[in-house]
Amino acid sequence: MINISCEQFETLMSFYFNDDLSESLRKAFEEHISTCKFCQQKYILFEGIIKDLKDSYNHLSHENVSTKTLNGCDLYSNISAYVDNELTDSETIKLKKMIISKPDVREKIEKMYNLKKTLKNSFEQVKPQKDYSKIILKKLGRETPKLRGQQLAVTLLGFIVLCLIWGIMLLSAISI
Amino acid sequence: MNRINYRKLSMNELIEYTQERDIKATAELIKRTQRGIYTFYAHLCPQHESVSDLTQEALIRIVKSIRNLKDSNHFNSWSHKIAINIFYDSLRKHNRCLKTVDCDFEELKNVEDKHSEPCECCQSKEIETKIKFCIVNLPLNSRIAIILRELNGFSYEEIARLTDTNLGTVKSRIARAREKLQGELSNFI
Repeated sequence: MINISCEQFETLMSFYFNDDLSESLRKAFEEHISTCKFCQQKYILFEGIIKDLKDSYNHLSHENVSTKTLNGCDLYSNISAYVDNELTDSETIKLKKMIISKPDVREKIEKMYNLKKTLKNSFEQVKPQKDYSKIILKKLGRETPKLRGQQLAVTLLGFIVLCLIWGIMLLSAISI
Repeated sequence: MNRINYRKLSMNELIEYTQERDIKATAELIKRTQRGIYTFYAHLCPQHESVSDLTQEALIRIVKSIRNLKDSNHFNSWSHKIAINIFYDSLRKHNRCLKTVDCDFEELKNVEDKHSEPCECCQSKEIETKIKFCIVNLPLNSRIAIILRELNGFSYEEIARLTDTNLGTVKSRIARAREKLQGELSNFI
């Protein structure tokens, strides 16, 4: 049985994780972990770091895969937004990469531009059949004098009623 | 005093004069706005005859409430907000006759195809009619989004604000509308 020092343990650690140690050295390494508390803590810390690294690496590669295999719906809505210049910078870069590498994406974008052009031309053909300005001004004009007329009538009525009341009061005062 | 040439006024000046109840400015503002609103409704409404009525109603409301507009730079989106509101109002009013179009959309798919057949056969029919037909038959939300984008050139953010939704929804609505239009207009594109 080989006994290793703490320094040796530290040196051997990375080889251990890569599974590069000989049978006898590996046994000595594991023996040292169980006996030396200080090295055990180091080992646990190191193991945790490696696990985190592996996890984040896996996460990254997953993301890559998902962007590579964008499903049809996502891709289409991204192309549509790209044509409108509404993608974020990172999305634009992703899509541009796809445009370069995939001819079918390029074709889709060309079709989208054609659709935009066709729609624009079509919209330009539509014209109102009449000029609304006169009709609307007439309507608005009719509404305002009406209002004014009503207001005038109300004030006149009020005035007349007031006069009548005054008259009655005056008459009653005179008769008394 | 120099006479004002209303035709040469900028949109902002025109709005300012209209807010001060200048009749000639109002007329010119209506002339400049009516086409946009009319085209907007022409592609939005299934019923042809209501396009003119809605346009008139929207223009009247725009002129009447123009004093509420604080920043004249926002006139375009403000006026379209009014147009959209009026459209929704009319939907509510004529709920019964419009319901058939709205509810039966999924079932209407087959009917729609039959309709489009004579259109494709008969080459004399103009493409505009076909496009209008296809847009009018899109689901309501996608229809509004695609018209606001393609006709008025609003950004996704503005469309989201106008239709009270979020950016993601606008993005997918526009994409869905385009996908459908592309499928139906494949012969013309």
